Amino acid sequence: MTQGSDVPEADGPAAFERMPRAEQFLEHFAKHHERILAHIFSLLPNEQDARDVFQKTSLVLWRKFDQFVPDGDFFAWACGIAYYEVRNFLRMAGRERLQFSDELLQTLSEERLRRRQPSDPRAQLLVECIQKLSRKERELIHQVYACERSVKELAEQTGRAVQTVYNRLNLIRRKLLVCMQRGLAEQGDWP
Amino acid sequence: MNRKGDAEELLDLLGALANGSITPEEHQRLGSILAEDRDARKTYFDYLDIHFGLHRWALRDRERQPLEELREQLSLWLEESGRGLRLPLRARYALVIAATLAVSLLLQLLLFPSHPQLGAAVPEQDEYVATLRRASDCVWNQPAAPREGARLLPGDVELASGVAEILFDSGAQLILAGPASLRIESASAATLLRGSAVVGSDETVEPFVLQTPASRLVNYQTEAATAVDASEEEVHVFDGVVRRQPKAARHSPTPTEQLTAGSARKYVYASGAARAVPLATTRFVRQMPHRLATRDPAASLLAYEGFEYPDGFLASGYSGSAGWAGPWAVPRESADMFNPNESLVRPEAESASLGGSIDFSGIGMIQRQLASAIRLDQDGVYYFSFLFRRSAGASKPPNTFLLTLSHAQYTLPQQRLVVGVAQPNHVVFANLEGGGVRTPMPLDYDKTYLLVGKLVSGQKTPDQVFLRIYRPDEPVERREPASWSVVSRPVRSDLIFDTLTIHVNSQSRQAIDEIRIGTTWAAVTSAWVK
Repeated sequence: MTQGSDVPEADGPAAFERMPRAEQFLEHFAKHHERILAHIFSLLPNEQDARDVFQKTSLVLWRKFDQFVPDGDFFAWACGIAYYEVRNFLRMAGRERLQFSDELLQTLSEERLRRRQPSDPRAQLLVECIQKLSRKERELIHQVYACERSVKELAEQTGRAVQTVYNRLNLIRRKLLVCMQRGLAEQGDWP
Repeated sequence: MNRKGDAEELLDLLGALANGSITPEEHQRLGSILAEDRDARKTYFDYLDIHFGLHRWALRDRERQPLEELREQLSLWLEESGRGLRLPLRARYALVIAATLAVSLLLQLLLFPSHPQLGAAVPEQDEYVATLRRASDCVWNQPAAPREGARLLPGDVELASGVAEILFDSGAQLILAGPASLRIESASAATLLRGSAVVGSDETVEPFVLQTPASRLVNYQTEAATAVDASEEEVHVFDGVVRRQPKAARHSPTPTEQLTAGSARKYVYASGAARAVPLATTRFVRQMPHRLATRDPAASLLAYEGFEYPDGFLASGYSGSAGWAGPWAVPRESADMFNPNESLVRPEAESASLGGSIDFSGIGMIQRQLASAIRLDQDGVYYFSFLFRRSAGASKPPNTFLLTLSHAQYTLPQQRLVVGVAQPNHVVFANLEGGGVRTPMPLDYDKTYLLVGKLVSGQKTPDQVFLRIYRPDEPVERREPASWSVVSRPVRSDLIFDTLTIHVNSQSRQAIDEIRIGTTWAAVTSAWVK
């Protein structure tokens, strides 16, 4: 198998070729959708916006799946389409969204694609780093990320200033950043 | 990044970006740093990976699936596409969105056949997809009998007798005549397991898929009846075109049929034979029966307040109101909220509104206890309505009025239902335990609007709020409308409300009048129906 190929190894390229087109698509999609969403998120760091663009991108991927070379790099192909969908989204959103320049967006997309790494080791490392946080810190990120409680609401409930909660969240993410960088360096994956 | 100060600034900006609190100036600064500095872009990617990863981590127990499991699930959904693809509301994570989209997409484009299992358990679903709009003499053969106005989750509907009109969220109307078994699959799909159903849709409605044990019927701009029993099925097309795809097509090249208006066909399951039959224009229930005896709307009115206080004092106790456990509690600073001299009215229904109104600028609040509690911990449907008028002139927000349902025992701000209109652009909002929604509406100042709300409560099912605003000259429907102006996100709440609060916080006058709370649409709207 060539580098970057997505053809399932278990059954081999020949078996994959025999699969119906829809199943081929699902095979690729199931394998890469997380990373495609992460790629979009890095260009459009708002969860809801990223989801919207991801949905649109998925639709376009299916519609254009005929154009995908069977033993090609599905992820790279998908990210190329995602980039244009992000641009379309931002163009439509206009001034409603803060947005980077087209040049920066393109740079981010290209560099993001170049530095891609298998997501699972990073995800596992992040879990380990989260476990090193204090119980209160884990509870805060759970409230914000899982319960989707607004920072304002949390601040009111706990009697703290909104900015204090923001600062705590920033501190937690910084801790995780340091932990991740350290962990990746130990794995020979940093910088 | 060469200096520690630069790194600090970058991390502060990334923090603001992740928090959603970044200002335009900060965003521009972040863009400049990223454009110039490759190391900064590395940090940006790592930071956002963590931000993204925290979303995944937070939802790990609910939605993460091993890749192979997901792939198998996708294939399974594809295989079983005819059983519908509704996913739990809580499954909001991208994995499932992706799966939903991919599979539904494939369904739309490929029209995959399906093999629904009769009597198979439908997976637990959390998201409402339809409304039982009307029920005529319905006897339900299921544990929890739905009532008119109830929201419906994906799942089985067992109608022993009577006629039910189900309005799917996609816009399609389905009239089910008992005895019948229907499995609601999604907002645009259902499976008729036995009995008869008439599907109606127009060009504004997305294609509706009605499945039977043997076929898949795609309805678009149609009125078509389907009858199913153990050995055969019939399809009668009164209007439009129905595309029928036999499920056997999966294994043999049976062609898809186009059934045009005026045609009717019978399909025998055992032999696979199909033949034309006369179009039965009167055999099926194509319209909901008219009720011979209309129930008295007042019978389902829980509370009414018309602000008719001849002595000019809200707290005096006397009024034409009903359904309250005591008089209004009026703090001294809110005494001026009541205007005894003007009642809000709707054209052609002026006699329906008497007395005064709440009409106030400033900050004020009055409160009154309901005689009957509104319970979100039980299955039910509540409706409420009131007239409101906002005056121009407020230069500063919030420029708002709020009607709040609450209970003294709750202390958290989210433990209440809040409905109101705010800001210069007339943002209509409804907040209920995290299901809040805000929608700007093209309203005019100094005009009287009617707001009708619906609160769906469920013991084990989600709770949801719907709002519909009527212009002064806009007719009010006799039946609950098919579409609403504002729809909240469904939430699971077990709150119990026994207190209504009217709160005004505005530099310009905000007027409220004719408050009704009831358990039917007619109870809160009959005064305004011409």
